[in-house]
Amino acid sequence: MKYSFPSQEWVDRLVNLLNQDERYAEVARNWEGDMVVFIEPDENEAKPETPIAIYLDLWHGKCRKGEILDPSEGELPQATFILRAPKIQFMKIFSGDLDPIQAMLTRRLKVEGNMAYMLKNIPTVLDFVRCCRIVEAESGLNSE
Amino acid sequence: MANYLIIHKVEQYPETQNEWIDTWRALRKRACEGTVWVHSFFDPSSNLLYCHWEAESEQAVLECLTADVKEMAPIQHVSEIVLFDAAWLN
Repeated sequence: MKYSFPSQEWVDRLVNLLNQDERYAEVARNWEGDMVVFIEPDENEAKPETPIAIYLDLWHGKCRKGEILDPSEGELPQATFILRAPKIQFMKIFSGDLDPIQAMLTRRLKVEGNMAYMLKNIPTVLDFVRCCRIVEAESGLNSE
Repeated sequence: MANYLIIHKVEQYPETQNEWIDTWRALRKRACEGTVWVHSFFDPSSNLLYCHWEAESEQAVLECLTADVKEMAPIQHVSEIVLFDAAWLN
C-alpha cells in the first residue's frame, strides 16, 4: 500500500505503530496529551495546498485515535498541544535532517501548550518522532 | 580559553515556547561578552542541565548567569574540565 504524508493512510500506519511499539509504550507510559498538528503550505509554493490538520490522541503509551482533519470544515478538537509547521519542516524532521528540539527552539516547529510538560517529557517526544520516522521511511520504500 | 562545566538543577520550566526561546536567547546574548556557551545536555530524569562553557575564568561564566536563570535553574556544581575528543582517535 502506498501512502504519503499527510494522508489518512499515513496516520493509520502511525497509530498502528504507536500501539504496537514496545519501546514507545514504555517511554510514553506517563504521557497524557492529545495534539492537533497543522501542516501548513510551504513558503514559495507555486500552488499552495490547503492546510491540513492531524489529530492524535496520545495517552499512556498508546494512540487512542488518529485522523486527518480539514481545518476549513468545522471546529477542531481542543487539544492539549497544537503544533504548526510547513510540510517541508516536518519532512526534514522525519528524514533526520532537522532535530525536533532544534525545530522547536528555532520556531520552525511552533508549539502551543504547556512547554514545561513537553520539556519534562522530552524522551517521549523524541520517541514519538522516532516512530514518525519509521512510518515515513516505510512510505518512502512503498513509493519506489 | 578554559572549559567549564556548570551543572544546574532545573527548578522552574518555561510555560510557553516563547518563554523558553527568550530565556535561552537572552543567556546566549550575555555569553557573547568574552565567553562562549558551547552546548548543554539535559537529563529529564534528574532535571539536571549540564552546560559546557568556554571562558577566561569561572567568574566570567558565573557573571553571564542572571538572577532569573539562577532562580529557574540553581547551580549545583561548577568545575573546570578538560576536553578529550573521541575524533582525535580517527
